[in-house]
Amino acid sequence: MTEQASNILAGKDEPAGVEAGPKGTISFEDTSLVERVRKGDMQAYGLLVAKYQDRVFNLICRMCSRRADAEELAQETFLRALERIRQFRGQSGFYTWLFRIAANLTISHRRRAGRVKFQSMTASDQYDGTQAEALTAKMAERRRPGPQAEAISAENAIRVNAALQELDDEYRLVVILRDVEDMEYTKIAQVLNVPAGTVKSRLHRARCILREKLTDLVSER
Amino acid sequence: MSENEKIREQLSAYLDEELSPSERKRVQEALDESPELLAELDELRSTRKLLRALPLECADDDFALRVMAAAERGHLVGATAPHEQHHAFPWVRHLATAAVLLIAVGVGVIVTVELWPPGPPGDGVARKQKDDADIELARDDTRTEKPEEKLGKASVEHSDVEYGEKAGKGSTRRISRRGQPELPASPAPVKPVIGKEALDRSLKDGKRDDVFTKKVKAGSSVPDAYNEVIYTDRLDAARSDVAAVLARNGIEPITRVGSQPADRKKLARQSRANFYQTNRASPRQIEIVAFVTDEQLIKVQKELNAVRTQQVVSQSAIVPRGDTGRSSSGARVAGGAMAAKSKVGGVPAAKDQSAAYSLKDEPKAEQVIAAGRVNKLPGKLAEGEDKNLVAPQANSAKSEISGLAAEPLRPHERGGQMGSMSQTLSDTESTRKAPERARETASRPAATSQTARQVEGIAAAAPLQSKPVAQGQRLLRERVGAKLNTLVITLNLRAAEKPAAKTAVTLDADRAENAPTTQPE
Repeated sequence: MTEQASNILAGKDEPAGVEAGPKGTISFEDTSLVERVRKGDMQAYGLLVAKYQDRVFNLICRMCSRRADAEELAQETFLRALERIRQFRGQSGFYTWLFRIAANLTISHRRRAGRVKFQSMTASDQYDGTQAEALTAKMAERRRPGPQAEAISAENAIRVNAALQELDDEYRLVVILRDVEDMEYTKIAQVLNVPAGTVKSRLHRARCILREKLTDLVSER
Repeated sequence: MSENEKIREQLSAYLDEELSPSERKRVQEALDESPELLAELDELRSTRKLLRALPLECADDDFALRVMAAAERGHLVGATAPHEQHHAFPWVRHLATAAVLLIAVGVGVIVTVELWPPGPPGDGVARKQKDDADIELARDDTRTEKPEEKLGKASVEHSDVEYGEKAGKGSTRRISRRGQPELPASPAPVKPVIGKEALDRSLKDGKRDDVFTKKVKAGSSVPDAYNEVIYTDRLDAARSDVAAVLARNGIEPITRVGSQPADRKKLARQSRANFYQTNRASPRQIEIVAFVTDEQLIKVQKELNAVRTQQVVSQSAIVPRGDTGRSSSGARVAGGAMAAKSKVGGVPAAKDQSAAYSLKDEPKAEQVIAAGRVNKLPGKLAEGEDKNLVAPQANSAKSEISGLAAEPLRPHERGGQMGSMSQTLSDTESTRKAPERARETASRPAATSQTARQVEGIAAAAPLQSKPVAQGQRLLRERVGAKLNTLVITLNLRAAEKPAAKTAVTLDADRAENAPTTQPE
């Protein structure tokens, strides 16, 4: 199976009529893929994993700062989704459902582990600069080029990330889903299972807190 | 919340273009009028830019492979296909679940019914102790098995065979009342011919057609079975007594019917009431099979004890030494009779009469037996509520008057092995009251022969039908809301007196050793 998944992800054994674009831009319809998974087609699930792995991982990574934990939680998210794929009724998008699983798993993980403080990599923190610089460099390497990403320095990214980690979970998750994942309010409401008005108020409150924490960066722009 | 605060709350949504047109227009008008709100909007926009400028954290390149490998390890691969079938036919799963639940409930009910035999409130514990002790005794019994013990076991065994065919395996727990042979004489009585053996015989000679044969054939539902064994020297008289007992309790003899539809309707009408049938298994044995309710069962068993006592008393003069009553019930009744005799005959009863008065719930019967009085009984009996005791009481009184020799009880007559086990607790109270009872019964006048004749007349008037229903008919028809039990009453003709056996000497010696030092008055 692992070999099959490898072939699928490598584009060697793609089903007829399905076109696979570059990684992260697979143009499969989620509904058809999910239907194939329900029928036991694990190749389809491999495509779904490849399609959403970065977004799910990024979401979790913004929620919990430890990369190892994020990888484990992301993997658990996909496994849980596969295990419960028959419970997916298609009333919402697959990625919405997937994000909901990821969010719940991450929040539960944080609650179990207690309040996980953001391991700041600034000079004022307990970690030395070498480690912070190495991680920053690694993050910079993994940065997907984009107009906004090019406009922010690594140092500013660390500060923003630190401010983000200081938010409560309910605020942080809304901000990440909206400003990082660019998710609509209604989708966020589905992921969090809250009314859209709650999303609106939480998002505004979260941005105000971040604005206060990042006053100097905000004033520069 | 002021209007200005409401506008502020909507700035983020305005920035994200998530407002309705009316809301957006209202916010726009506020922004045009308030430079402060406009500055705040700019800060929120800058904050959003910072968040959107965060780099995307990407998973490792082999992340998908690791996920699929983990799925394979967790046996999740291919696990989705069968679930699709369940979705296609969800009712199948629900039906299967309901079936499993029904089976579980049914098994539970059957087990409960079988393990908890019907009985009067408060009698369950004592009966369970008795049964457990009987089972334990049967398991540990290393003594030489006597004919009557064989008969007792046979009574249990035939039931096991018979009902084991229904339950898959025989279980002694199905028999809540074991056969109660008491003070029998040798040679061994004829073994009751019922159950599978009866079926074989029926198939062999084509004549015998008893109820058990039919049940085996028809595969009808099997009620609880209770066995009562009575030894008598007058088989027909005992049959009449039993018939009278059954008639008094509303259990009617079944009439002979044919295989015509009208006969079947007649049988169906009769089956609504409880009935019994009588079979003469052999010249020395009569078998009466009655289908009774729980309430009837209790009353009938109580009266049968009195009938059994009557037979015991009438034969007490020839009680052989060494005979052992396995049944505690029969033995304790015998003990009661013996104690009464000892008073009438002017001979002190045995010192160890604990078992003689161990029947706590039947003191009236003992008193009646001893005094021979029918119309002056204390309590309800004196008021005629319990008319069922009239016949055996009178007869036993008659037998008593006829001049029975008193004879001390032997240890093995005190309920056999049960005398030292399950009856220990119940005997304590009775033992304490034994002298008072003996004193009380000695002061009562004897029954008249006229009363005895009246009772015999009542018993003789009870109809007797020795033929079962037609072949193939299903006998058991339960009334709505009533639970019928099968009561098998076996009447065995007692043989001539048997000389004292060798074992009796030993047991007699044991009695002498264990005899109490105090004697009742």
